[in-house]
Formats: sequence, C-alpha cells, structure tokens
Amino acid sequence: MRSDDSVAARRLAKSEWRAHLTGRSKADLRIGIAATFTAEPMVPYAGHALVQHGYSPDILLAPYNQLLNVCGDHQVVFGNELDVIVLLWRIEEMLPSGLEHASGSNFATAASSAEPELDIFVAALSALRKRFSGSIIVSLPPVPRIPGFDPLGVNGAAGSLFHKMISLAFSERVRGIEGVALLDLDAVERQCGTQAAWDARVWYLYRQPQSEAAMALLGNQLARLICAQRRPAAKVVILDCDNTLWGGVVGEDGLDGIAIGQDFPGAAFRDLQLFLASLRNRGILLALASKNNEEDVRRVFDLHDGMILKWNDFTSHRICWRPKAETIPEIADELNLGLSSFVFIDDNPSEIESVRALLPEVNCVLLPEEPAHILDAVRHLWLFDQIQVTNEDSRRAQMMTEAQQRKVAAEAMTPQEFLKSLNLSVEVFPARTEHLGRITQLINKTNQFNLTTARRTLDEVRQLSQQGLHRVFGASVHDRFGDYGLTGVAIVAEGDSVWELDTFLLSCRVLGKGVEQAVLAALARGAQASGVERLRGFYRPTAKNQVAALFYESAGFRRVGDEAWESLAVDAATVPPHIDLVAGPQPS
Amino acid sequence: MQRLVSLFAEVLMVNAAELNEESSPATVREWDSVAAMALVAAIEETFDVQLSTREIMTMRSIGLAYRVLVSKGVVI
Repeated sequence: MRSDDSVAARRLAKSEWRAHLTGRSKADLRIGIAATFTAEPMVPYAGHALVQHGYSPDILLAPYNQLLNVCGDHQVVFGNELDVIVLLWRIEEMLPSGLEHASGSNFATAASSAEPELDIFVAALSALRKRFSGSIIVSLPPVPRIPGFDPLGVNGAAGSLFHKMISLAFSERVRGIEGVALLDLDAVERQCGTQAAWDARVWYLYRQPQSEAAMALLGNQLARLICAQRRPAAKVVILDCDNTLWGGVVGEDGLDGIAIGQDFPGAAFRDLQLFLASLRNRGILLALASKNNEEDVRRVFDLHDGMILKWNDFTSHRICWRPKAETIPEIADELNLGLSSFVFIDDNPSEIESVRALLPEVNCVLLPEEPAHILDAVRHLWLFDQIQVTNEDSRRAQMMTEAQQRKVAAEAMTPQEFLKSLNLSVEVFPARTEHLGRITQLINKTNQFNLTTARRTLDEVRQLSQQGLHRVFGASVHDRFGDYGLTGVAIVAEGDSVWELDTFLLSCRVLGKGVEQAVLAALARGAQASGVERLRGFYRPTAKNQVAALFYESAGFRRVGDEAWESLAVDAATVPPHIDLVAGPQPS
Repeated sequence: MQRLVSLFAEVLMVNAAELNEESSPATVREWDSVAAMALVAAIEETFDVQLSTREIMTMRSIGLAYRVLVSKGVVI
C-alpha cells in the first residue's frame, strides 16, 4: 500500500469509528485495555475493524501502567464487567531492573536479572485467568529502545538478543496458563518497519511509543485476534483452476502451455498451492469449481510435475460449464456444511460478482491480476484464523473423505440395513482435562442438535468439571469406515433423585444414526448406577435446532414444563440394537 | 479557518458552531490530553505536514494552530 493510501485509510477508519460512537448501538463486546504506555491512539483502529466485522464494541482504557491492578481486580479499574481484557506491556516499564543491565554486552545476565519481575507479572496474569472467564490477550514486548545504545551500533545485537530471551521466557511462562492469547508487538513493529513504527515526538510529548501508522496496525491486529477467538475459521475453500491454481488456460494453452512450477509466473501459483496445502493440513477442506472440460483438468493433476496439490486433495469437484452459483451449493449439500463457512477464490471478477450476488453468505476472494501479489492477497485474510487447533480439526479432512465413502454405502441398502452395516460403536466417558478444549469448541459451534444451546468458555467448562456439582461427559463415535472422534457432549447437574441434562449436543456429523439415543441411554445407566431414578432434559428452541425438537418426546420422556421433559432412568436406558455402547459413565 | 474549525469539531466530536478561534482546552471540555493527541495526528494527516514538538506545544487554541499552519505555508 502506498503511504498516501494508508493515510487515507487511517483517516477513514477514525472518522467511521467516531460515527459509530455518535450513533452508538448497544455494545455487544466490552473490551478493557491496560498498557504500560499511552495506547489510546490504537482504539479507533481496533474499534473500526471490529465494527466492520459485525461487532458493536465498547473499548475502555485503564489509566497508564495499571496492568497489575487490572490483574488484581479489573472491575475496580474499569468499573465494569468485560468480555475481553488486553494487557500491553514493554520491557522498558515492566522490567526496568533487567533493562539497566541490558545496555552492556552481557544480555544473558540482563535477561536473568529481569526474571523476578517477569515472575511477578506472570503470577498476576495467572490469578486473573482464575478469576476472569472472558478472553485474555497479552502482548509480547517490542524490542526495547534503550538510550544507552544504538540498535545498529557495533554492540547493537545485545539489545535484540536480550529482547528475544525475555520474549521466550515470557511466552513459555504464559503457555502454562490456559487460554491466554499473545499479541506480538514486535511483529507489529516489524510489519510497519521499525523506523516508521517509532515517532520520537509523540514519545516525548505523550509517552506514546508507536507512531500513528504502527498504532493503526496494532489496532487491526488486536481486532484480528479478538475475531479469531470468537468465530470459527472457514471450513472449505472452493477454487477456480485457470489463472488461479495455475497461470494460463489449460483448454487453450494446453498442458505444456500453463504456468506452474519453480519459475515465475508459475512459482507464484505454486506458492498459492503450498498455502492451500497448509490449510488442508489444518483441516480446512478444498474443492474445485471450474468451467472446463474435466478431462483437461484431470490431465494437469495427473501429468504436470509442477503441481503441489493432487486431485484427491480436493474433497469435491465440479468441473463443468454450469454457473458456479449453482455448483457451489451442491458442494455445500454434499459436505453438509453451511455456505457461510465457504471461501470462493477466483481470478475472474464476473464469476466473483455473480457468486457474491446470488450466494451472499459465501466469502468471495478475487485474486489480483498481478501473479506476484497472489500469495499476500490470501495469506493476510482473517477467514482462516484459528486460535486453538485441536486434533479433531487436523483430522477433519480425512474424516470428510470417510464420510463420502459412507454415502456410497448408503445408496445401496435400506436405512436399517445401512445402519446395521456401519458397526457403530459409541463411547460415553467422563471428560478429562485433555478433552475440555474440544468440548468447549463443540459447545460453542454446535447449532443443530443442541438441546439447550448453552454456550460456555473453556474456563467455565473447566470450573464445572471441577466443582463437583456437575459431571461433564464426552461421547466418541466409531464405525467401520473410521473414527468420528469426540462428537458429543453432555453436562449433567447432579441431584439426589434427578440428573438434569444442562447440556446435550451432538455434532451433525453423527446425526441420523441413533447415536443420540445411545448417549441418552448411557447417561440413564450412569444415573441408575449413582442411585438416581430420574432424568430431566430441556429443549430450548433456537432458529437452528428444530432437528432436536422432538428428541425427548421420541425417547419416551414426559413433558413437565414449558421446556422440560422427564423420564425414569430405567425407561431411557435402552440402546438402539445397531449400536454397541462401549462403556457407560461410572459412578464417582 | 473554517476548514480547520470543522476538523477540530470532527475530532473533538462537538458541533462546529460551538468552536471559534479562541477555543482551547480551557473552553472546550472535550479537548483533553487524549483529544490533543488525536488533533495532532488529524492535522498532520489532513494537511500533509509534520509538526515539530515546539509547534505542537504552541497550538493551545484553534487560532494558534491556524497561525502555525499558515507559517508553514499550508493553504487552509
């Protein structure tokens, strides 16, 4: 971006943020920021980016250098409950005694003398984590600007090595505290350019250590982290072929005329394929939608040695001459995923336009005409951001391929025969610590078969599993085609004579196979084993969970309230005949 | 001058009619230290200038800001 453009973008962001403040709607995201320096100029940029992503944020700033007080009691500092707490610090203010030694050449001694101060901060952070159930974001510090030395001087490396040691020591300590996200101030300064990130005038006048340009990047980066914590990453990328996966048009230029490989422009398309391969490794599915002869496209995948991606890396293929606005929904149906989790990448503006117009939920990305800019255009997208990658995510691509095989099997038999042939087994077990991340993910993203749609943070789930009033169960499902993994969650409030099913959900991947009855039966057996005679379930309707509306009724429960259903445990303990229930929850 | 008054009004989020040459942190409640930082950034971005610390510290009213900008050859 030219600097004129970025100044104009900054002015626009600030003016739109002011407009938002003036016509303010009710805040749905309360963010409290505490910094060891003047961070106010970043607020409009963070706020504007969040508004653009559909939030109505309220951003509060703690007085200067109040990080430890915020960790101690954020409500006193902010006067309000918050959804997100952001702690921004620099070595200069947080670790002054370590810094005293750092201008000498012995950076290792300097770093170790900073450790006691670092430990105090980390202890405060961990106390905040225990107390506060919202998101916590803490910075990694920028390279300190020490009056005693010149970063490009002959001993300049000492300062940056000291900074690296502190950053490592801090991030290792923070990794021990679950659910704290890191915002890398050093990366922000590097992206901006360290010289452009520093404005000595505003430092001396206002204690603002970053230029307006760096503050704009910092605000954007904060918004990006907050969005990544709150929304799921895209699940499927649909790709065009000609001038997207390779340069040129295979139908016209032929197999030897297209550009893909080590040399430019082929190298630019190869990098895009490498980027897509990394997405696939993270569990994001790839699919093809190209107006071409399938035979031509197959030949490129089968015969061209410059290709990184193989035909089978794509879970679904639509190589035909029909409109993409028609083929994309077919892919969505095939994969049983909503259009809003799709990204469509194409180099042709008219294809992008028509998909945008007809399928507004699909996230459309128009590739730049300049091949050299393709990689940056996709690499900086927020759509693929994902903060916690669980085992289930990285196996998703493989599981989807297994699901396709199951479909082929389904076409040849009656439903009963099909279910029997699956050799389904369901295991219901008390959740252990290592399951809580995946369980929280399911709690927050399952919309369809989710009886109560009670959303919870990782911290809340952890508390429930530890307090002794509830039991948290996971359910995993296996059949002859493979393993679906942990796909069900039940949270039970334990009473003397009744277990209340506070949460009961199944991922849509395992719906329609009787798994829900099996999990319910396992819970009924668990209740019986604990001497509890009744189960009480709830159905709270939402816009998306109609599929579960009749669940308790069909399981023989009696309606006892507007949303409440009950059954004797003994009556609910029957497992469908085609399912093997591996182990029920044991009494504690 | 009117263009400068509008810019101050926009950044301070007040009605331009409430501001004049004499407006200063003493007369405008919204003109606090955070707003002062935002004003400097807005002036530099709008008029494509870089202010020295001395110039920044001189701008204690809209009229004084106007004079600083004129002395730098900015056409307002």
